[in-house]
Amino acid sequence: MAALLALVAVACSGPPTPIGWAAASPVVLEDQEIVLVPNDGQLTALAPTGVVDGSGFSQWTFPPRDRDLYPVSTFSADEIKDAIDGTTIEDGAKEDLAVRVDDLRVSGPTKEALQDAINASLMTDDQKDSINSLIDQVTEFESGAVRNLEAIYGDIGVSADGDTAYVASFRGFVYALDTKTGTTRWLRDAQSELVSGVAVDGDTIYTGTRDGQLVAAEAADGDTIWAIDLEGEAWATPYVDGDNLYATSLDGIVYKVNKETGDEIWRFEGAKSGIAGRIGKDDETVYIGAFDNKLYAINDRDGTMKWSFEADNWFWATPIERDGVVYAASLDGKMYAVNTNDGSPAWPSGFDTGAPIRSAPVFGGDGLLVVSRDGKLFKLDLESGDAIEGSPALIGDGSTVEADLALDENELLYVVPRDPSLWIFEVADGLRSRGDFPLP
Amino acid sequence: MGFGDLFNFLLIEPMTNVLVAVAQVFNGNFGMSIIIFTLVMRAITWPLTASQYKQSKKMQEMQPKLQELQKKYKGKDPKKLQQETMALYKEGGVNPLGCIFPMLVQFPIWIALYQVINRTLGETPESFVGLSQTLYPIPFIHTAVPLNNHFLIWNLGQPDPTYMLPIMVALTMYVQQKLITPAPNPNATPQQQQQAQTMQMMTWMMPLMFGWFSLTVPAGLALYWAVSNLSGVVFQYFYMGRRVEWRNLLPGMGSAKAPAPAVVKSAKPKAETKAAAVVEEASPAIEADYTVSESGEATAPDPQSGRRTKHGRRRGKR
Repeated sequence: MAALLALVAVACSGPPTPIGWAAASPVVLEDQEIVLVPNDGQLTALAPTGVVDGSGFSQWTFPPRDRDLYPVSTFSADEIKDAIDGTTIEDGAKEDLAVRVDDLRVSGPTKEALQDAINASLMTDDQKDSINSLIDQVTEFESGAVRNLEAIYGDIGVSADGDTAYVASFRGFVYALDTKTGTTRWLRDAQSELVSGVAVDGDTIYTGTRDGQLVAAEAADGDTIWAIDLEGEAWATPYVDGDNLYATSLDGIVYKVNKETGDEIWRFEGAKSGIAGRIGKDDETVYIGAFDNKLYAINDRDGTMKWSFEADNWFWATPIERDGVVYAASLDGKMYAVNTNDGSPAWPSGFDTGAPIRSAPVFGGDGLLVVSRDGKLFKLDLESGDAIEGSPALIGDGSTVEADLALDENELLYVVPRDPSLWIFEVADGLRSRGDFPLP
Repeated sequence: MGFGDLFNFLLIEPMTNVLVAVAQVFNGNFGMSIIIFTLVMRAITWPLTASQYKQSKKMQEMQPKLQELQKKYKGKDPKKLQQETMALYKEGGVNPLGCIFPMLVQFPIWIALYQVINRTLGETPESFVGLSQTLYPIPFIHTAVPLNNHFLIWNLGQPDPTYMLPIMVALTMYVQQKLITPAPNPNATPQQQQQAQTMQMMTWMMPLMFGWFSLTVPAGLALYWAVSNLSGVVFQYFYMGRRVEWRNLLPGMGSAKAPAPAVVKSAKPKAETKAAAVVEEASPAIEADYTVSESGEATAPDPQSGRRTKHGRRRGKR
């Protein structure tokens, strides 16, 4: 009996639940600033002014609490309207139906109302069947997609005008969201789990999938432009630089491809283990950390290795470079500074935060900001690697932090712990907390 | 250090590293690692399994004396009955809970393996971060990640959607249970008949339960159970001197052909020790009624006379 109880407990506990660790994403719109904060399978848009002054004004959440009332995407609504436009009924009747389409929700009575109106119209039976079938498909797909966001790990891509945010969910959907309202412009099923985020470059977005594809798609509607097979799962958000796109795969390969065509320019296979992080880059060199405990510097020209630097545990966080020094955080708990010319240590030793570091660091206020997984935020002197006064600042009571740090143009630092909250720090001069804001 | 940390330190971390190291030997194939791990665990726990059987047999041999005690004290002096029973156990070198121990040993292994699979195969990125803190700082192990979570047609980190492994687990467990479960004896006392009925029910219940568990846990754990059961059947087959009553596998066939005795009266306990090892730890409450003579012949009692008849060898000689 004890055996059965133990097994029931094990069986019922289920597999581990994905939580997500996407970073906050500051967005500048025409007339306002917002910060997109992913947490626990939900994306919240906050007005920074409200956050900073303590009012914590929440703009919208995606998905909303009442997911049945969520409107269908703009793309799908337009598709239905186009289908109605293509029928032989009078223009006035088309306009009446278009109004109902604008009110269409992913589930609930609006769908039946629209279909009843279509059935009562003077369309042919074939036209009615075709449009009703389209409505059924759209609502069924979008209802499922809105209910199953699950978790967000990768970077949220934002269009240059700040108008659209592209979100990749662990469950495998890519959503293009209107940053003003949080409604979907379009959404697509990637047919694979997504750990990677979305990189945006003009009219094209890029993402990697767990089934090992690197995909380029139209930013406007999500249509695939090209897709290439990688050797392993793609966990890191692709990186766009000039005409090139850089991607990594979990089997330890770095790829440089032509961003227009997906044609491979070179691949680096020098790592002896997996790679889950995104590359860092300067003019001539690509930097990447791997699960073989090494940070690699790769010639951008031909993909050959310049040097490697070894830590005591895996590198996951994206390395960043400034003034001939690359800074990389390791899961051994240390922040390392390495000279880019030869891979020698720039600091006497790595700065030990005392806990593993998963989050990518950022430069801010002439220092280096790094947060350890146990919720300690440090600001380090770039030259010496010493902690600046005020470090460490605690994120809650030792909250787990795995999300990358994000800095806006006003030198406000955004930290997203696992707990549903957003922590804000001023980093221009020292390291000062502006408080934490609980997410809805 | 709390219980969770201790469990982690003593079981999960070593198991993780052993499984990863073996997988690395097989080019990252975690399925091969689980199979080898299962067979090794079988070998390690073999003395316990044998001990479990010995305990069962001793308990079985004490039945006449226990029944005498029950007749003597039941309803009259329960306290005295308990004292005399315990004294009898002590005299015979029997620990009434001894049969349960090998089963108990398996629980933490199952639970740890469940945790190891969840961490190691990285179904969520968070579990990968946890894995980085679990692996020993040995380059051979540290560079093994990511492991291949696919084995044959299964993703070992996810429940098996094909139902093949759950069915295999249920079937192999049923075969294993059935081979060691004696058929009901119509001459048994009501108490023994009730016990026999419970045992018969367990031959169905346990496979069904484990089959259901296998639907919900990662396929890697189901693979462990399937291989463990299968190896148990194979070991049993050879320990029985290849004299297994396969007909017992069919429902209703066992009772007419090989009924169990009410009481086993063996004059050759030493000769039975080899057969003792055939009982599997998956069913600690089961007391096998097969005995093996010095000549290696498996016997079971005749339903009418109570005398033992030979099975297997006679047919084998033809």
